[in-house]
Formats: sequence, structure tokens, C-alpha cells
Amino acid sequence: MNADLAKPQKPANQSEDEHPELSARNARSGLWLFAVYLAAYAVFIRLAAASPDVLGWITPLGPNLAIVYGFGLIVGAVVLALVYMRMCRRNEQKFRGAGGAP
Amino acid sequence: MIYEPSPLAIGVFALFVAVVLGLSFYLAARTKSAKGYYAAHGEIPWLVNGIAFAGDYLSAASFLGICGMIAFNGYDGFLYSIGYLAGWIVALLVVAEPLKRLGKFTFADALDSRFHSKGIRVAAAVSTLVVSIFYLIPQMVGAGALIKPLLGLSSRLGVPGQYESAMGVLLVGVLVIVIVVTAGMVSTTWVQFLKGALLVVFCAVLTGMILNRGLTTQPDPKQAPKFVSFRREMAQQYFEANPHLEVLEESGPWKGKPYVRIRDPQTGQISIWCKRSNWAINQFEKLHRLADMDRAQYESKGKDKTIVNGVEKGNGSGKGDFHTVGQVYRLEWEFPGSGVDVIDTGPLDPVAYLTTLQQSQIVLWDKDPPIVEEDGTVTTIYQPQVVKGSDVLLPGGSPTFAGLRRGDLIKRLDFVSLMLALFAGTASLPHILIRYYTVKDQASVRKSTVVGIASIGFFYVLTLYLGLGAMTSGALDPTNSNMAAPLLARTFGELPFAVISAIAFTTVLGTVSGLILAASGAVAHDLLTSFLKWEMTDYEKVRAGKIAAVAVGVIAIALGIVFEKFNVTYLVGWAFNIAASANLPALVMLLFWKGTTKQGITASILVGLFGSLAWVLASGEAFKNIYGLKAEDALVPFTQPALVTLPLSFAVLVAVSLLTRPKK
Repeated sequence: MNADLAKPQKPANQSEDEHPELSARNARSGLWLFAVYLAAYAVFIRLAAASPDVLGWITPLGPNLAIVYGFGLIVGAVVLALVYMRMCRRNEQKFRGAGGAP
Repeated sequence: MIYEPSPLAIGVFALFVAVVLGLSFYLAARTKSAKGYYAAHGEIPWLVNGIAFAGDYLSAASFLGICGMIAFNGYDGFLYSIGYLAGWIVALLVVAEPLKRLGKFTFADALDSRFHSKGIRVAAAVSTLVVSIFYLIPQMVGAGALIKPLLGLSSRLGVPGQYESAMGVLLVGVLVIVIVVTAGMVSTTWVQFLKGALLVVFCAVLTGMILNRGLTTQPDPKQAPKFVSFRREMAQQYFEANPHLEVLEESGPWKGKPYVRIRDPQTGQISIWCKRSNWAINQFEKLHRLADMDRAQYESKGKDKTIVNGVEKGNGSGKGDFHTVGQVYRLEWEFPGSGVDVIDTGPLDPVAYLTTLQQSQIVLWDKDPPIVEEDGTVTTIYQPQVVKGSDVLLPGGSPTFAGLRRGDLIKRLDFVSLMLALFAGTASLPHILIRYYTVKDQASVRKSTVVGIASIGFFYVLTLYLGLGAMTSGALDPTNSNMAAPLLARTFGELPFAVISAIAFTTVLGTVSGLILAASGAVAHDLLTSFLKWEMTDYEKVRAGKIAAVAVGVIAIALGIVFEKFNVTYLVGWAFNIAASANLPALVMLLFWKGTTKQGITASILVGLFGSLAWVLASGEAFKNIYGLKAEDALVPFTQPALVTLPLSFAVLVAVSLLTRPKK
């Protein structure tokens, strides 16, 4: 049997941001951003489930709150993804600055 | 409806299929090893992988199902867009990078990285198989729906109408099996890349066309030749022009129903009208309160023939078919609230399109429960409803979510459960998870996921315009919500229709390829190699994967035919529920709780998987649509299981882990 397939191994071409400490920092950044998005998503679900009429409020932008909030959740996800990329880059710079680079 | 074939559509479709197959055969030479077959050697560039994520994820459900649901029910379809995209945040911020770090080819690799447990292997493999098959069903149903207008098999080759969808399913199934068997993950990835990019670009073009056309109360007959306005004023005109009409007695199954059947003595044709709230019978005049009735469309299926709207269904003299529908009823555009209507707005910007629609009135169509007569004839009635635009753009307009506005607790729980499943399910889908292994490192995983989120998010914004565009295009097939997007494209000409249909078909091909590959990996890599410890060479492993792919493909074809009548979005919702309940708790707890044990993971997967599966099969929707029983007799209070089975799966993992933790 091919042992290569049986046991998961680390990729041969490991990059430096796979250092466990850096991965842990990135994971913490990710979890903070996740909490922010989860809160926004939960509020939306709460409104849609319990008070759909509130989502019918016409916003100053023209469309109602349901449309603006829905688009906001989609665009917000893209923005958070970009923020996360930036945070990871900053974590990497700090890690290197602290002498963490291999 | 009966669809006329389009030679141009067939040509473009054949070209797309030829390119996809050509690519597969060309890339086949590069995938001789197991790593090449299952993970494309881990050499896919992150940008390509990111777009391929979009290709994998934007399935028939996203394109056909959501557009159809928005076109028929308004904002409720867009709720799926929001939930699907939100799920990517879980994937990016919680799951993606650890999964890449821990795994190799499959989701089971990552789960089993710490324990090397046979139990985890087999549980994860079974979960992958079940979720893949549940996700495959709607893709195949979507393929069947697409093939009807694209190839027009019924009118061109004489294929009986009821077998058209089955032919579509069969065609997709065979093509996908060929793609997967020839080149595995390499070809699947490049097919996904092409399809994802084309889908997003052409949907953006189509949205531009919708905004440029604006909104109108009178769809152009050139764009929607089968359209007939079912405006309420029709009733008065119809009865004035036909003074000798005969009102049929309400007897048998028609007694007490909200319909009036009217027979034209000259032609013998029967039309069906819907009574409205202030309708009342006037005993002294046979003609009723005409202004309070809407004309419906109907189909009566008897033993010998099918009648549609009073005439035998078919093409040619004396025969007929459904009219296409979907229109703005009143358009108060320039002077909202003034009661002054306009016919046509002309081009609108994206915000003005939504605000104008919000101030309008739209005709939406509902399908009523069938009426079965003593001789076995089944009549299905489709009736128009005039709805305020402001209601169309609010949650709770569809039959699925109608309970939200009524304050129905069970319906609210069902809704919350679905949105939870969409949020948690994305990061647990097997064909998405295996894509993390096709790039070289964690940074590439992160970058490709961000590209995926950007392209998928952009697409989901477009779905609202595509759905609303179809809703008001005059080209909707009242009998089939899944056809809304291609029929919308047809109003702009044969070429957009041909291109969009071919892309949608490639969409199905791509997603199905990814799913079959994930399922075959679970069988060949997790079950045969890791669990059963079969001694196989690298070549034999690839061959085992290909045999498994054929088997899964055949199962998918069979199920695609059986589930033909379901809305694909609804079916995908079930797949997300099962994936979220079975896979996410195990993944998250493995990453974030040191007390997790192998027994805990195995128990969590099995309880989440079989718990959610049992719940789905015991729900009202399954009772009604699969078993033909009454939905009220269902064994569980609501349809979507995640609200119960996801926390249950977490709880089982914690409890079993605590009970089985190693003694110090």
C-alpha cells in the first residue's frame, strides 16, 4: 500500500506563513472578523423572522431596508475578506519583525 | 410548456460541450497519479482556483433556482443569495486554512490527521457520499429543466414530453462521467474556471440589458411572443365580446372551490376564472361580478389527452399551450402616489430600478393544489395575483416563507433553520472542501477564497436583478420556475438565450463534476485505501476512483429523474442542512477544542448526518412531494433540520468526548 496516501502529511513546499504561531495569529484575527459578521447576519435573520415589516422601511437611499441590508451583507462579506487579507499581511510583517521568520 | 428548439442555441451548446470535453481529454495526459487525479498536483494558481470556487459553487441552484424563486416570489429567493454568500465567511475565516494545513486529498484527511482512526475515516466518507448525492440531485433536475427549451427534444426528435427532462439528466450524467473519468481534478478545475468566469460576466451583461430596458406594463410582443396580459380588465372585455357564455355548475370536486368555470357554447372551450374576495353570485343574472374575477391558466391531464386553457395541448391547428406571463400591472414612476400611471420607464440605474419596482404593482402567479375528478382527470390551475411592489421586495412573500408575515412560530423556526444551514453548510460541502488541496499553501488558499467571495458576491447581487427582470419580462413559464433565467435571456434575442443556456448547462456540468469527484475520492481514498486497507498501486487508486465516479454518476442520473418536479433551490437547502449538521461541528471542534476525541468526532458526524437525513425524510415537504401524503401528517414540526441537528451534533461531540477522554 502506498503510505503516501494513508497518512496525511504536510505539503513539501511549506510557505513561511504556515508557522504555527503565525497561523494562530491569523486564526485569532479571522475569529474576530467572523464574530462581527455573525452579529450582523444574526440581526438580519432576527428582523426577517420576527419583524419583516421593519425591513420594509424605506431608506434614504430609495430601496427598502431589506434590499439595503441584504446587499450590505453581500458587499460586507467581500470587504471583510479584504480586511482579513490585510490583517494577515500585517501579522506576517510583525512576525518577521519579531524574528519569527525561519 | 412546449418549447421550440433553437438551432443557434444547439450550435452554441455543442461548441461549449466540445470545448469542455476537448479540455478534459487534453488534460488527461497530466493526471496519471493519485495526487494529480484528486488534487491537481496542488499546482493550480490561486487566481484560477478562486474563480473555480465560483464555478464550483454557482450551481444550477444558484443560477436557475434563485432566479426562478425571485421571479415567482420576489425577495424570498434573494434570501438564499444572502445565506449562500454569508457561508463563505465561515469558510474563509474559520475553516479554510486549518483544513489545508491538516489535510491532503479529502475532508476525512483533515479530520483524521490527529487520530488516525478508522471510525472517523468511514464516518467522514459516508457523510461526503450522502451530501454529494443530495447536492447532485438538484443539479441533475436543473439539467433536465434546461434541456427542454434548449434542444426541444419533444418537437424535434419526437421524444414524449414527459421524457424530455429525463433525456437532459441522462445527457448531463454521461458527459460529466466522461469529464471526471478522463482527467479528474485538473480538468474539473479548468472547466470550473471557464464556467465561473463566463457565468459572472454574462450575467452582468444580462443585468445591463435588463436595466437598459427598464420596466414596462406592456412587454414587447417581439420579445415575448407568447405573452398574454392577464390584467383584471380582461374579464369585462371577454364577457362583453362573448354574451352567450355558460357558467358551469359547481359540482363534484369543484364544489366550494374558489373558481368559476365558463364554457363557450360555440367552441366548447372551458375557461377557468378565480373568484376574488368581494365576488358574489347574482342569482338573477348568470354573469357574475366580472370585475372581481381573474382569468387563470390551467392544464387538465386525462387518460387520452391533455387540455391546456380549453384546447388540446400541442403545436398546430386547433391545439395550444400555456401563455407566458410576468408583468408590471401598474407603474407609478414619475409621480409616485399620484395615481398617474406610465407604460414604460425607459433605461433605469440599479437603484432607480428597485425603487420604481417598489412603487409599482406586479402580477405574480401561484400554482394551486390539483383538482382530481372522478374519471381520474387531474386539473392544475395557475392563477394571477396583483401584488404591491413593496410587498414583493420583503421577506415572506413565497409559500415557503409565508408564515413570517403571519407570525407563525413554526414557519419562523423553519426559516431560521434554513438560514443557519446556508451559513454553516457552505464550509462543509465536500466539493468545496477538496478545492483547498488544489493550491500549494495556506496563503494561496486564503487568496483564492477571497477571489471566490468577490466573484460569488458580485454574482449574487446580480441574481436580484435577473429574478426581478424575469418577473416583469412577460416570458415566464407559469409551470416551471427553474426556466426563468434562460427565458428572460430569450427576450433579448436568440444569441443571449443560446449563450446563457449553454453557460447554465456548463454550470451543471462543472458542479456535478466536482461533486462526483469528491464522492469518488471518499470511496477510493477514504474507504478502500484508508479504511479497508486495500493494497493498491497509484494507478489502481486512480482506476478505483474512476469506477466510483461512474457508480455515483449513475445514482445521480436515477435520482435526478425521480426528483424532477422539485424546485432546485429547495433541494439544495436540504443538502446544506445535512452538510452543516454532519461536517461542521466535527471540523470546528477539532480545530478549537483540545478535549475532542476520535469517538466524539465519529459520533458527531453520524448523529448529524443521520439525524438531519431522517428529519428531512420525515418532514412535511417529503410527505407531500415524495410520498404523496398530507404534509400535516409529517413527523417533525418543520422542514429544515439544522436548527435542531446542528446543535445536537455539537452536543454529541462534547458529551462523547468527555466520556471517552484518555485517563491521565
